[in-house]
Amino acid sequence: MHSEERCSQDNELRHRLIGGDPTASADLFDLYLQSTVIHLERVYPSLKQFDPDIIWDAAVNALFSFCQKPTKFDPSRRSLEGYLGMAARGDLLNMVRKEKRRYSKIVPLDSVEHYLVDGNNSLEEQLLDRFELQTRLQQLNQLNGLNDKDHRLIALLQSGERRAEAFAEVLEITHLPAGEQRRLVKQHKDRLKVWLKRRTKDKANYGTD
Amino acid sequence: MEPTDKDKAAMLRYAAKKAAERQGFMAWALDLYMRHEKIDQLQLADYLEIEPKQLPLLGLCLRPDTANNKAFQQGVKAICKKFGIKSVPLANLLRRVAAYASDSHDTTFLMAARDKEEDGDN
Repeated sequence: MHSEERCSQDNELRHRLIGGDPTASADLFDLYLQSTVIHLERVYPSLKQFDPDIIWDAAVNALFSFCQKPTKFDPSRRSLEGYLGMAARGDLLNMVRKEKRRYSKIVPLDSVEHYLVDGNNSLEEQLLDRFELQTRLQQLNQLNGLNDKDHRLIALLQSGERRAEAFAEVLEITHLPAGEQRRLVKQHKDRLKVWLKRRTKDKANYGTD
Repeated sequence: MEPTDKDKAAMLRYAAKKAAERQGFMAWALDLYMRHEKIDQLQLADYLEIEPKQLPLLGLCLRPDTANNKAFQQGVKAICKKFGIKSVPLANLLRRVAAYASDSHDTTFLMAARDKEEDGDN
């Protein structure tokens, strides 16, 4: 399709959306969903094999956003395909940032902290970091026998939390009698303190090698 | 490798599934109707007298607002023209869905909403 035809088509679609034509959104998805997905797959080729859903989600979200606010697109500045590609890249970046925040809350271990630092230059590096982090967490969990609850308990220990109720909530034992809760909390805290101590010792030994 | 038409159909189905979480889209109304009437997509397509493969694109249309009669009629007409649907079953479906949604005691609607929230939490 020639660029003039495409421009005219973009304009018409934009006007139909602004005018409230209920079928315009279906035409938008029919015409641009696939090309937006292809654009993301080309810009971030390695991402497709890790998590294709995130690419589809970003593309779908960009099209939904355009349906809600079609006036944001200025046809005199760029093509609709270019606009949607740019919006989808923005959505993808937001998703990655959200994931990073989520992981930084539940996994405060310094062994993975360097994966959470916003020091990367390219979005692709950040996206790949996200999957490396997931893999590394799985490896750590397997190696150390730790689960998500353990990570959250360690986060509480490191934050200086002393209330037994906070630990009981993580352990999902608040329905038990108070004495039983305290006993189980102490048991888990002792186990994790031993684990942390051993880990610190291992690191010190490693540093002297 | 370039996506094929088969991939495109899968993408549209995925988008329609996401649209079912948004009240402004036809997919939301179709989804609620199927839950309430306890029918599947084949039966829905049969009711609307369309091909099942047309459902994702139908779901990606905006839902005509039943509160504004003129806009509702125009919206239904536009959708019917595009998909070759008879206006009576589609208008009835949309009015029924509006009734389910406005009836706060409708357990099916509440269950559907709860299911959506739970899906969203996961």
